[in-house]
Parts: sequence; C-alpha cells; structure tokens
Amino acid sequence: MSKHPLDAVFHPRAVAVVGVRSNPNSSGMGSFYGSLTESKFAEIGGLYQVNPKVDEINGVRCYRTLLDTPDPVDHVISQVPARAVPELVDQCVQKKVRSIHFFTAGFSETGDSEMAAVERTMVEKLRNAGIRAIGPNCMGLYVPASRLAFMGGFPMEPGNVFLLSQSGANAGEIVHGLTSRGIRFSKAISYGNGADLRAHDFLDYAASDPETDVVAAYIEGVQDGRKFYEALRKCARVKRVVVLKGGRTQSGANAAHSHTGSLAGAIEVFDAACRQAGAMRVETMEELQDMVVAASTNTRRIKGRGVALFGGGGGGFAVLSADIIDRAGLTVPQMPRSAVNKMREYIPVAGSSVNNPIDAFPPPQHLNDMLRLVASARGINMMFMSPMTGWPGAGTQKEDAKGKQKAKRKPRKAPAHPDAAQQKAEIEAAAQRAAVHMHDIESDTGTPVVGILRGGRMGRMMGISTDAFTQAAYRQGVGIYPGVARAARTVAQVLEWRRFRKGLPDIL
Amino acid sequence: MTFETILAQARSEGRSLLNEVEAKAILQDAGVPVVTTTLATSEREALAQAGAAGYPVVLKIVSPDIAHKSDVGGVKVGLASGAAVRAAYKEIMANARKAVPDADITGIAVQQMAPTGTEVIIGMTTDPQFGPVMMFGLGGIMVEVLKDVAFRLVPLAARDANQMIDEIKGAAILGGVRGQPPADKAALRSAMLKVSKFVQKHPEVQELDLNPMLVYKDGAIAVDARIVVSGVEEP
Repeated sequence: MSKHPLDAVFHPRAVAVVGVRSNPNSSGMGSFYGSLTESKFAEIGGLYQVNPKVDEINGVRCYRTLLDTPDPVDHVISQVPARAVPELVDQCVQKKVRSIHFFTAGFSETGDSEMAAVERTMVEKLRNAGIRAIGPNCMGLYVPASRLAFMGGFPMEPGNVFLLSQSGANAGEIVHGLTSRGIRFSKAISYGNGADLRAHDFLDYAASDPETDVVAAYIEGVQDGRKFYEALRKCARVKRVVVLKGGRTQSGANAAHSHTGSLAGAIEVFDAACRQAGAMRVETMEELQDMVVAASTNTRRIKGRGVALFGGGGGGFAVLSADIIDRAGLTVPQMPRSAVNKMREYIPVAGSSVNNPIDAFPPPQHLNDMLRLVASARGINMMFMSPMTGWPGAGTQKEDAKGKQKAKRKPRKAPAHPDAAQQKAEIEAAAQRAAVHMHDIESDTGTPVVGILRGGRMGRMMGISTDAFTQAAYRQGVGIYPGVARAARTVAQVLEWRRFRKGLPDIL
Repeated sequence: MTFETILAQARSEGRSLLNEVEAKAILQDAGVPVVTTTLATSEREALAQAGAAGYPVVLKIVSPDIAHKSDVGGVKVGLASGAAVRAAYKEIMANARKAVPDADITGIAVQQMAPTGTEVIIGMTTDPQFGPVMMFGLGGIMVEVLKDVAFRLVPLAARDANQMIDEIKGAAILGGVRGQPPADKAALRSAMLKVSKFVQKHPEVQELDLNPMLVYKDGAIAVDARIVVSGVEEP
C-alpha cells in the first residue's frame, strides 16, 4: 500500500453527506447518499446523512448537524448552499474530518471576486486544520475498492485506470463509456475548481499508486503550470497517461516582441508539455476513451505500421477499410508470395482475395491455420479483424438477434424464466469464445489483434452481442474499437506516442 | 560586458529589447554560436571593425526606434572592400534618418557575412502558465507562413532537442534533399541546449530569437539575435 498523503482521502472510514435533500424522491446528479447506498458503503464504514430540518428520510436517521453524527467522520460531502459553507467548514474542523468534497457550487467559477475570496478563505482554514478539499463545484470521488461512488450504476469491481477530471459531467461520461467497454477504475476524481487539491496533486498520487497502470485526465484550465508539468512528468514516466485538454483559449500573453512569442499559443505549449512529459494528448472524448482502451490492452504493444486486414465483410468493405487505414498513416502491405500460395491451398474459391486485405471465408477446419499464417507474415505488425458469421463465438443471425432483443427489453432485472437465463448465458459464452479466439491468435503469433466492431446490418449479421464481446475481449487484453477509422487512428496515435517516448521507460 | 551590465544599461534606458550587438555579446559569452558583431559609431570604426572581422561584411543599423531594419534600408550585405563599407555606412545613416527622422541611432553593427546555409530559428518565450518555453523551426518562409515549429519547456534535455528537430514537418529538409548534404543536427542540438541553460540562468530573459541561424554540413551560426528582458515598464 502506498503511503501517499492522499491515501487517507481515498480510504475514508466514515462519510457524512451534509445537506441531503429532504425530498426522498429526488435523484439524478448530486444524489450522493443514494449512490453511496447503492454502492453499499455502509458495509465497510459509517454512512450518515445530515439535514437540519428532518429527523429521518425514508426511514433512515438524519442528523441535524455534522456535529451530531457519531465519531469518527473522515470524509464530508457538502451539498449545502454556498452561504452555509463557512459554518460547515468550522464544523469540519471541530469534527476533525480528513477531507471534504464540495458539490456546492457558486464560488470562483462564477467569476465573482467576493465568492472567489470566500473560496480562498475556506481552503486556508481547512488547510490549517490539515483537511484536504475537493472542489468546489464537482462530483468528487469514485473509488470502487472503498465503495465510494458519485453516481449510480458505477461498477464496484476495481480496475487499473485512474481518472481525474475537472468536469463532473465528463467524468461521469468517461466512467460510463469506458465501463461499457470493460474497463474498471482504481480511482476517479471530479475536482471542479481545484481550490485545494488539483491536477498535480492527483497526478503525483497516481504516479505511486500500485493500483493504477493507466491515467486518463480531462483538464480545462491549468493551475500551477510548472507543478502540473513536473507531476505529469513524474507520473508519465511510470504510468500510461492520456490527457484531453478542453478550452482552446489563447494564453494571456502580452503582445510578443519575438517570433517565438507570437507563435507560442497556449495549446501548442500544452501539447509540448505533454510530449515532453511522455503523456499522450488527445483531442476529443471519443479519442480519450479509445486511447485508454489502447493503453490498457495489447493495442499499446503494436510496434509497426503494417496491418493485416482480415475482412470477410465483402470486397467493398475491404477496399474502403484499406483506404481508411492508409489515410491514418498505416499500411496494408502485400502478403509475401509464399503466404499467398499457402492460403490458396486453404481457399481455392474464386471471388475471394487472399492478398491483403484478405476478404475470404476459409473453411472452418483451416480458419485457425490461416489466421496464424497471416498474423505471422513478414511486414505484419497487427491484425484488424471482426467476429464473422461462422467463426468461433459467432452464432447464427436468428438466434442471436432474438437473444439480444430479450436482453434489451429487461436490462436490469434477473431473467424471468430459465429460457431467457439460458439465452443470456449463451450470448456471454459466445462472446467469450470470440474473445478467446482473438486472444489465442495474439498469444500464438505475438501479433496484436485489433478488434473491429461493425455497425448496422453487417454488424448484426456478425451475430455477436457487442457489449458482451467488447468486455470479454478487454478482459483477454484485446482492444475493440467501433469501426476501422477509430481503430486505425488509435493505432497511429500509439505509434506516435511510442516515438516521442523514446528514451523513457518502455511502458507501452 | 557581462549580462548584468547590459541588463542594467537597458533597464536604465527603459529598453526591454536589447540591441543586436548586446544580445549577441551575451549569447556568445554563454557559448551560443553567433556571428561576432561589433558596434561602430563612425565610419573609421566601421572600417577598422570590418578589417578585423574579415571581408565580406554586413552592416546593420542599430536603433531602439527602428524595429524592422531592412524595411528602412538599414541593412547592407556582401560588402567586400573598405570603399564599400564607407559607402554603405553613409547610405544606411541617410536612409535611417530619412525613414525615422527622430530616431535615436546607437550606431551601426558590423559583422562578417556568413556563408549561405539552411535557415532555422531557435527561440524562447515565457508562457503565462508554464514559464520559459523553447521553440525550433525552419527559418524564413517556413516559419513566417507555415508556422512549422516545435516547442518544449525549459530546461531542455538532449532528447527534447533531438525531438524538436525531428518533429517539424519540414524535418526532411535538414536530412538533406536534392543532393544537399544533411544539416549538422548535433550543432543545432548543442545550440538549443546552450540557449536553454542561458535562459534558465537568467530568468530576466522573457523572449529570445536566433533568427536566422544558419546551419551547415558542419556547424551552425546565428546571424541575428533578439532578446527581450523583464523589469522595464512598457510605454
């Protein structure tokens, strides 16, 4: 266990939610007590709700003030209005809490100088008492191992991805988006205004966090540029760090007297800082999520540009895919003659192409040999493939479509009768077989497989439940991407990342 | 003259921009390859300095009131004789006085003319968030129009400098194209690292341009330099 000063923040013994809504039916963003109930925090620590007006909510005791709650309380979640914050801060000091998360908004982010001053004063008071603050104006902590969650529906299974986000909504979207692709988190923090704890504190923590291998960061305004850079550098040496910068605002630079000054825009300098630190900067939420998938699967191990495209999606699909791959800066090299000749033995069928892209349906008994032959061919650094009809794990169109519909109709309830349960199990087993199949090609040949999900009618014809398959593949270390374009872009970025990390520890 | 002396002088005169002769002197002192440049305040001095530098020479106006020297006819290149130096001196002075009648003229900079090479720019500026930042790019039209440049924060490590050189889109030009020999990247790297050390040592330096620096098969040398320092009230 690391002994970082922030460890205490991520592992509270008891949590008090202060300013809970007295209306028990309120839900949605900011229903922290509800989220902590769902995550069963009470099984490992004290969970208290505080509201000065009521004694109980839904039959659960509600305390009038923080001072009325049992001792100890380590972490406080503040949902009180901004005007009530100074009093709460005093109570936190008296109660000797370790950390406070301000969901409360209305401070420096408003641009109001008076409220910015209030924010500074409260942070100073807390710091003097040794209490760390998260926020204001944010969603706070998601730490599965500590049963902390700031939204409902977050999995409680811990993982190796650490997320820090200035925006609460983006944090929620990233967690939901990535968990649906199989990723699990060590910690996720939405830190808002960063009045006390901010990006560099969290990066510094992540650098030495044994539970973290990959760090995703959503940053808007950089606070303490040099500290941010130093922490990013420290972290990116040993962890795979992916950064998304929001807000392409111009730096407040004075009119420059030099060429250099006039060319150094804020985003160019931020980008340079990331490269120099060894962190990958991406441009969109979609890229961030794809890159986190790449960084936590074997996609990150790809070392060259040569793609073997194993299609089976039709000649047109193969041609367009090859174009997309080419535009992304990768190549679809010709297969060596010896490999082509060997493949012709497997597939003597006219109309199929055994060069690259390979658009062919080999007979099942030859499928595995053929895939291994392609993956091992000279000039091939990765294999792009999607699950196809007739492949291991891929069911027939009919049965799978039925299974998927059923699963969709009743997503949260347990299957109502044995038939549905059996179908769900079959879908998962099929997804698992497809995932293992891809993993085996990888482990037998050493060539990473990049899984492509295809949308629309063709995707359905593949006959695979996409979420189940994506998650099963992720657990096998195989990265799955929606469409060839996103896969190709992600791989090209990985290669770029490897290039500018040259000379740093090899963690890709 | 030391950095401190020059800084004090500029500040006392209310100048945030060091003149070319000052900037080059302190950079040379820091080991950055720049063309030795001296200040002449008379034709006689210019002639003597040209002789000491070695012909051909370049003469440039030095004035805090003239930012764009070429635009006012304040630069004469390829001067191969004493007679040419005398004529150029007179002409530059006349041009400057005509273009900016009230200009405070410090003198005329005399330097040996460097042989033609590939133009690059090495620069530094102070980012409001991240502090001192280095820049590298191809010079001339490449930096003016295409903004083909790379940045890294100070202090630079050797790998940072190497990456900046290789990162620009026009990197192939430095590798040697159309029978040109490849440029001396080691000399560029060394110059960048020295500038990085220099600005680290002198936080008063806010902005800096070596533009252009000429790079050859062997070696590189800056033929113009610009340094902006802090601690001076903007007018």
